[in-house]
Amino acid sequence: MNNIIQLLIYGLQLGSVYALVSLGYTMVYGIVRLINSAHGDYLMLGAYTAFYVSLLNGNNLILCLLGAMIASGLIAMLSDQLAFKPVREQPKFSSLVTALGVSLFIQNLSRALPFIGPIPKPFPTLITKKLYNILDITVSSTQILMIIIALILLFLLTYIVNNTKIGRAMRAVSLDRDASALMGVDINKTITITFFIGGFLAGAGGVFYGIMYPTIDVSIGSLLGNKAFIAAVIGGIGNLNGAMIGGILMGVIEIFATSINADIGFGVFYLILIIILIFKPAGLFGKLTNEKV
Amino acid sequence: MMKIKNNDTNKTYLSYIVVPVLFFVLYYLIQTKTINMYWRNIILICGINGVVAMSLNLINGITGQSCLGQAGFMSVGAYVSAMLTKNVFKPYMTDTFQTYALFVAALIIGGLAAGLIGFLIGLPSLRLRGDYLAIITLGFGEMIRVMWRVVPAAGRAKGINSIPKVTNFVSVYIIVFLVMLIFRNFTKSSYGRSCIAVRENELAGETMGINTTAAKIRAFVFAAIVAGIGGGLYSHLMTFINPDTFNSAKSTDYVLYLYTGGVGSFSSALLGAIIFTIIPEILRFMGEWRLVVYPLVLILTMIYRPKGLFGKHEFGFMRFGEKENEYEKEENAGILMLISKAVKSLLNGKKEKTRKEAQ
Repeated sequence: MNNIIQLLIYGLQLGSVYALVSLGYTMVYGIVRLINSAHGDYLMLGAYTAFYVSLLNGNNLILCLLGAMIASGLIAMLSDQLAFKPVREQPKFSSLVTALGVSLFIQNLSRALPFIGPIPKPFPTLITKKLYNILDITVSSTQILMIIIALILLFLLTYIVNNTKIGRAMRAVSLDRDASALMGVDINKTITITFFIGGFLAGAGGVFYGIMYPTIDVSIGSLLGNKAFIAAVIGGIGNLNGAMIGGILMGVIEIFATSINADIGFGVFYLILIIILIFKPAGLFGKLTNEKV
Repeated sequence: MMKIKNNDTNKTYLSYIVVPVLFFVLYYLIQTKTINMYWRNIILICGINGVVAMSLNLINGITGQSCLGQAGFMSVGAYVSAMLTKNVFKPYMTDTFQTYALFVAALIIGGLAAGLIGFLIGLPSLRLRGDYLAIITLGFGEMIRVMWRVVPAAGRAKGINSIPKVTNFVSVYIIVFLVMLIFRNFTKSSYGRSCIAVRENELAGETMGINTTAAKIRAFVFAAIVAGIGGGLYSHLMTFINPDTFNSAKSTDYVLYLYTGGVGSFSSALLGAIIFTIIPEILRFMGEWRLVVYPLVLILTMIYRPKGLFGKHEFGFMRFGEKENEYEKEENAGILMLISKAVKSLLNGKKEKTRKEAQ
């Protein structure tokens, strides 16, 4: 029993990271109908930004987190402006291919850049680890802090989407782009801000990843991004609550599966994905739109 | 001056000559060691990538589905045929004839095993389309990879090594040629036509009495078989495979070959695979930067030339030597057309100049 609760806490910790990243996927998909495979790479760049901020300013969690989030957000915006905007009117699959290209480009570019490079870097310890024992269950300060920060960010996002003007614009665009353009919503601005917010959350995910697994290299983004993306699909891509719940669910499931066999941890993701897509193609909370004739 | 030719009867047999000539030239160069082992291997990998890219074109280009898991099919073929030759066939591979007969048998069995997996992956394609199908094929591809990591007979994470090295230039060339031939005939057959109908408009095709379910499954199975054969060639060239050889990055590579080459055309897929296998090798002097170049090419292609570098063109050979009509030529024009046009206009300009000088 203690074991299970212990694993559950680890799962929540991992799940909060997945939730942060999969929210970005879901928001971008909801608005531009684009599976942005480069999203994981924003995360990787965020982690590297945090690494350099900590080199310059010492191990300051808030500063690193802010630096990473803003850097990832800006890169997400930039990639949208340079690569995704020109292909927005083309068939769907070509924007998916463009996203694959952008992902490869960011990864290979960072591998080639001298200050990032192919060699893994040790991530600084931003939170001093303290262990608390409650009824034979060990909880570390890192876990508590991470889950709290993730929750704050999630609430902030829900507030922005539900209660602000830009949030209303985002919801309108995701419902019907043409109609909201006619109602005076600036589509391009909304899309850019969505990309920024997605990248912003991914940056936080990158720092959390670095705290959990303290070596970062160029390929962390594609692996974590893939998993977070699956979490978003399972929750119902395009649905914010679905992404949060899907992320946390998948984190918990992954920890339990890995505790059984280290190799099947990743396979379980895809297995659940396939089962859910076959029996409930729109995910747990998504709505399937029918093809109109 | 341009002559107006009769499009109906004139056939171009140029590519019918190019295929054997290219074979003998390359064969001669390899036999005389003018092309060293390193470049020989690259030529073989070009061919193998071409086979897999063409099989991807059958799903993405001809049938209009979205598949991102081609490396998964490839790995099934690679593993099954490698396990067969290494564990079962090796004692019987005594003389040349037996070796190649058994190699071909292993390739075919590997291909069929991949076809079975293709059938399984094709099933969800009946319910899902677009992005969701792309995700699930990606998922299946990764599932297959995880499966090889767990199965003890496949050597787990270590993979299989010391596979007999039997893939050579002749076998790759013949298989590339056969695959092209089969795909050409398939596309021209009623089966292929029904696949094209699914791509253009699934609903309309269905109302015209086409069994779209069967067409989609057929495309998936067929493409998986061909990709599995490509995988078999790959494992018998490399003599060493492990599950991570066939990760999602490899699937992405094939998508890249196909879409930069020109989706919808088998010849463009082949050319795309050849060019984008060779370019990173030529750019080796740039170190890590060479890998930056080619995603950049992909992005630029998608933005400025969405139909691909070589367009929707087919070789003359893939069109049964028939000439394209002028409209299609303009519509599908690829970079080769642009070059030939530029050269032609240059030549014509020169001719006119000389004529003027003569006058």
